[in-house]
Amino acid sequence: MDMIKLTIDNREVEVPKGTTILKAAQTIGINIPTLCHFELEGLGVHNKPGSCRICVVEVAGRRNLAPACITEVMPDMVVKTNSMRVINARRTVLELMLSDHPNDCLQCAKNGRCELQKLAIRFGIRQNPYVGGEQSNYQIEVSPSIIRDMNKCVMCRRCETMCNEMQTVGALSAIERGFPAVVSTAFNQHLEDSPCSFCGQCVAVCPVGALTEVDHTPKILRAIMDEKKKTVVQVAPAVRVALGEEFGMKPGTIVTGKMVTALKMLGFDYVFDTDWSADLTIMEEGTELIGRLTKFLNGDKDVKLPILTSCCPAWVNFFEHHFPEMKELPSTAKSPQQMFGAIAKSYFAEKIGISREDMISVSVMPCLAKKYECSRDEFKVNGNPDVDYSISTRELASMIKQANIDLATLPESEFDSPLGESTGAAVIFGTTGGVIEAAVRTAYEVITKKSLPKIDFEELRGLEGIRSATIDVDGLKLNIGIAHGLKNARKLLEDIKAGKCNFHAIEIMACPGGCIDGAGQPLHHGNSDIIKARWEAIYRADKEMPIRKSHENPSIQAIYKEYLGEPCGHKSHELLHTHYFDRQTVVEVGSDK
Amino acid sequence: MYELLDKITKGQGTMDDLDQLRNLSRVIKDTALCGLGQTSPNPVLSTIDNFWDEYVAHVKDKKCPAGQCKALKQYVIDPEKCKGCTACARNCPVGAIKGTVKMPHEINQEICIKCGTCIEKCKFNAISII
Repeated sequence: MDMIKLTIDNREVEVPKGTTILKAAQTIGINIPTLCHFELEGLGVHNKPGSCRICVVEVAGRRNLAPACITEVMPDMVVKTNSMRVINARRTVLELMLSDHPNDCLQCAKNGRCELQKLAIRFGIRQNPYVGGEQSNYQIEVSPSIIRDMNKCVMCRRCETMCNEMQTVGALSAIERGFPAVVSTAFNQHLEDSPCSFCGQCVAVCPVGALTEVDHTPKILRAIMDEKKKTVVQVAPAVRVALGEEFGMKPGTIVTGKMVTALKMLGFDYVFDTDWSADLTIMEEGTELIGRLTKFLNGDKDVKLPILTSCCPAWVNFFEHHFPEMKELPSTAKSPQQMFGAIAKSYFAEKIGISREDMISVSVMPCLAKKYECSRDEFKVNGNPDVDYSISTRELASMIKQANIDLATLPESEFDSPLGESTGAAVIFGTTGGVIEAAVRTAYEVITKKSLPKIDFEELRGLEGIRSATIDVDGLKLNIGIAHGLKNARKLLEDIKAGKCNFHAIEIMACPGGCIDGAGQPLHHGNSDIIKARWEAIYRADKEMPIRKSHENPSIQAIYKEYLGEPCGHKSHELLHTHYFDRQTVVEVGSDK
Repeated sequence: MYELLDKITKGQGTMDDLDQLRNLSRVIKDTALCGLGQTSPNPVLSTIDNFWDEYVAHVKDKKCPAGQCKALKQYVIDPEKCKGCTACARNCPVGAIKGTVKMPHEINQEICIKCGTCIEKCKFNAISII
């Protein structure tokens, strides 16, 4: 590789050709401030508009200052990252940005985690000569998952990169010029009318409080206080490997037991596990897969293959909007969150002798699309939703902090029974490749009636955007595809449409990395090591489980015997399966939509 | 920059504003993303370099030596030259000029919109801008 020698702040440095000044400086411990620049290494996310101008540096011989995040190094370059000219320019740029930014930091959802606030602290901004001039003015928009307050937008355009390049959803784009310039939907549509999938990746990368999640914590606290209501909470697999980060623990720390204790201390009547319903999902989805496969092998030409997973609500929104003609392909099984809600408000409510209206069902999810999912009409019975509130990992952390609970020092406890017992197969739902691995573990044993020689399917694991593997199920070659990030999902779907692939089953997760990097997780601020640590933790948690195959979960076996009958049977269909809609957005010219 | 310049042309600028304007122009030249942005402050920078005393006049004396800043202009009638023909008063669109026939007229500065009609109509060169 070609190496280039240059001088940064009087220090010589040698880096490979093509490196930016920003990265070259980092190799010798010089941390140039940035704002718009955003990169998730290894996951193919890179936002580099070079537009905020906070990272400018002085390059000898160059007329103006150079943005370090996009300027590549040149041989014998002489760079100054801290001259008066540079510092003055950065301060002025920052003052100008702050002059068009609301001052309500104390009530901002990003207070304390805001990257603009951190810059203001770093540069010691005390007074701002540019305050008092014109400001942009936009209406705040609230959707079931996401709040858009564009008055706080700094036009870093990270959300656009996520929406258009990483997810290919195309809901957000910059429009207008000057003060009216803003990132918005086409024709300023409401997010719900736009092709938005509510994956929330825009929220996960927003450096300021322009894009935030809808906060349900006050409503939940009220529900807990209400003695007439029974509160039931479920926690998704990816939450347990990330919640600790909010309390200063190392990324990848598994806090399952402590989290359960904290939820009980908060006053939830029943603390259950979404992993339980993930096992249930495997039973339903696995049976559906086996059913479709058997038909296919018997020569049925009309059978819908490949079967696509349907656990990820953002992915469901995506195909409903972008590939409605393929809405017969995904499994009709509900997502684990909704399966849990349906069982909690039927089977479990009957068991403890209360009506569904007297039960408040809460889910803790690494996800913002789950908020949207639980508000969908098909998941309501007489207007009463199966899951009343869905909160993110961040919101749970905030509730725990408000209650003066120090997660790190808590003793561990177990989930309540019966909807709390789970297996290792359910834990790995939290990462890309996990759902299909769990399904294969069960499908293998159900089809062959033999015990698996090796539980770990290493060939299905990894963080590459699209992966494929062929699993030998006793002679039957099962072709599996996996995609995460909707860009990769789109590629796979286009291939299926063109008849270019021969997969039997495909798992798709909307967020890069799967739920571990969901939009409701603690903010990673572009550090992909955090995501890798969570990823490893998920598989560690799987290894630690005594039972690692969904169909061996005794409580799942019991509910089929006691209540549901058989997988994909009549009762299951009623409670655990759903259907999809064509929601392609067509905007008529001249309509006021 | 526009807001600063606007303030200065209205006679409300301070010496701090001038420093700020100069700093802002330099930073924009240094940091703007596109060529248009980088060259946009050039007119301000070169006038600051070459006509600094005019900027100072706007701030300190509240005067526009070039007579171009509307807010700093005043139209006045020289009572010695005015014959009281009433041409200016009849043509003033806002009725800012008062006076009796054959007596010197006067312009009410609070009403005057500095449109310049009176100067055009005066046949005796009695009106000037200060």
